[in-house]
Amino acid sequence: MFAVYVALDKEAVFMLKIDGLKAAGWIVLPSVLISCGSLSGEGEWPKSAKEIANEAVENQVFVQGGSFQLGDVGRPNGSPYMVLTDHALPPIEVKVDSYSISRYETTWGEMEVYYKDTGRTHLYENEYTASKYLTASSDPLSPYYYNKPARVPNYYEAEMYCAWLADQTGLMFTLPTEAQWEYAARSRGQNVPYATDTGEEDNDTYLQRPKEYIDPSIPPSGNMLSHSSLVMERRPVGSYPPNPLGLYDMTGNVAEWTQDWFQSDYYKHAPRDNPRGPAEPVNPDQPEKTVRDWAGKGGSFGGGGTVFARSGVDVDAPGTGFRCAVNHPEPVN
Amino acid sequence: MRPLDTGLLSLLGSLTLVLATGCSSPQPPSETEIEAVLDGAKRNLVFVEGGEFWLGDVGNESGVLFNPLSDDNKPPKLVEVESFSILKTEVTWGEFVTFLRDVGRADDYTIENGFRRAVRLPIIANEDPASPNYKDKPARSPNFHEAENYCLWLAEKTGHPYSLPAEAQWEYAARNRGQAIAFATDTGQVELDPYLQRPSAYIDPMVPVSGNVLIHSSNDVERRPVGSYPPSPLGLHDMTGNVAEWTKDWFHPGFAHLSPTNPVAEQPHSEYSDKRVVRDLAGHGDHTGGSATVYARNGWDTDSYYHGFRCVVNHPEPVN
Repeated sequence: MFAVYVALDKEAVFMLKIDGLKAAGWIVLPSVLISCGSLSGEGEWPKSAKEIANEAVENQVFVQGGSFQLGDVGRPNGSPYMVLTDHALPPIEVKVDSYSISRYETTWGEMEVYYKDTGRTHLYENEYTASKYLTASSDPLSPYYYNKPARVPNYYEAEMYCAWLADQTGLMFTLPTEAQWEYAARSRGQNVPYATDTGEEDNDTYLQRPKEYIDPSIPPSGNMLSHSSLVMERRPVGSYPPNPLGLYDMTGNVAEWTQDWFQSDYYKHAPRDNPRGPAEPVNPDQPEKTVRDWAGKGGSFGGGGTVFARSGVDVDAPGTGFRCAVNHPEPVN
Repeated sequence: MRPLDTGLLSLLGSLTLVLATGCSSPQPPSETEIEAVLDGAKRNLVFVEGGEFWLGDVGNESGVLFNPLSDDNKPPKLVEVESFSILKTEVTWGEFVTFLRDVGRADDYTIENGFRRAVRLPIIANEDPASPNYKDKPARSPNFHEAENYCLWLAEKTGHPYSLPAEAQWEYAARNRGQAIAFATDTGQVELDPYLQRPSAYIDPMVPVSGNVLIHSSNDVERRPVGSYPPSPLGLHDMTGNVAEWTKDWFHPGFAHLSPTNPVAEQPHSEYSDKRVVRDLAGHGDHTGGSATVYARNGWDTDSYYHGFRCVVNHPEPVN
């Protein structure tokens, strides 16, 4: 699939600017679908640690490295997408080495197995919020259904989940850097505001109604799900069409941790070669990591739902999701 | 360069090391290197006079259980252990890797040979104090067997009956010859070193030791050099914290299966057929419900790669 994409890259970007996004989507999508590994929904839950590790490898999408403009590159007419903050300015040309990133967000089912396998369940039993995050549900109507995206009690569990996969697979699983995250969400750095199939936003109306009327039996519509974190319910990962690179829910479903410390004006200081965030937290008393995909927390005003949006979240704050990447210069599956 | 940068660089450095060691077979250790390990293994022995004690969660003076979360260490059982000696520190990477090189197995635990954990924590020793593989930090054996083999290697080389501790020996020593204490620290209380109590990307190995114990998740590969904290009254370091430790007992729930004198579980339990007893779960990162106390015990599959160990000498007189 990737060879096709590379060949189309320049032309595709050109078409995005001129003809809108659908043309690129049409050409690239069929090959993506053919190359898809197992869908996350397949198989019987609960799964073993081994099955989860194997699937985590299968579900890695190889991302050929390159250079791109990290940050708010602006609309074709030059105006920025993000109008409420300048955190994503100025856009800077950075280089990222090849890596792989998970097709899906990590699910409740996967996290439950991780907590049990590493003996971590009891750590949160007495914490009201965190204790709700430990157990997955077999009920498709539950917000904690196996295949819905997990939220973690703190940054640390996201980091450790990826480390757990590394231990089992011998592959360098880790949280993506912020630059890796954005490069992948934008299908190798294209100028698109949303990581959807079309690059445009077509929000599922699923959660746009009073809580008591949310009906999980309604099938997905649109191409993404953006809603406030205050509502726990989400869609199973992979419910909407992927971006041209084959990644699901990089816009919408849940917001995602990256491994970078958050610095609001980081792009003014970032190194151009594989930036990894500041070396230490900006405020050591309240360390914050960079969270991306604010559409997953409902950020919809002033460009807050775009792939450019970035902000810091306290490492101890519960409620953010994540996906893992693998730092390896060749495809791993 | 700030200390943190050093830490991150050393992480990268240790990755490079993995790759480098994958390409060339490690040389067997020199006689001098082996002698140094054997000398240490003798010098670091603490003699523990035998006696009778209640093995298991005896509860404190007020009758409150130390480890209410677990049924596996109840009811306590009155047992007698003969005098023995025990290493005052956990076995280090430097010592452990010298052994593996001597027996020609240092190359067995690479990613290429199927030991996948090596991607984050290779089975190597190095000279970099900021690395989790620093020679003076506690080794994590790739499995139960190499821990057992290390002690038997000491026995073969020295002629003294070294072995992994029996579970009863481990607990008797950790509790200062069977006292009803909670933690094997200098004070009997826990004063956590804040080291590692934050996301690992911000771990700064140059932060000096504080408190009297290091308790942190096994998922985190970093630890402190052995003997960094004050010893227990008996003179033992890290019996609470740093890494969890293998004992030679097969895991059975409870203590009913043990004989009253020098007890060792020499047969596996039918339901836990591949599990050996691991003690000092604080070293594994457990700290709720009394899991960090010296009473907590768990059965782990013999191919678990998280745990460290120390050896004993089963001889009723001091050997040093």
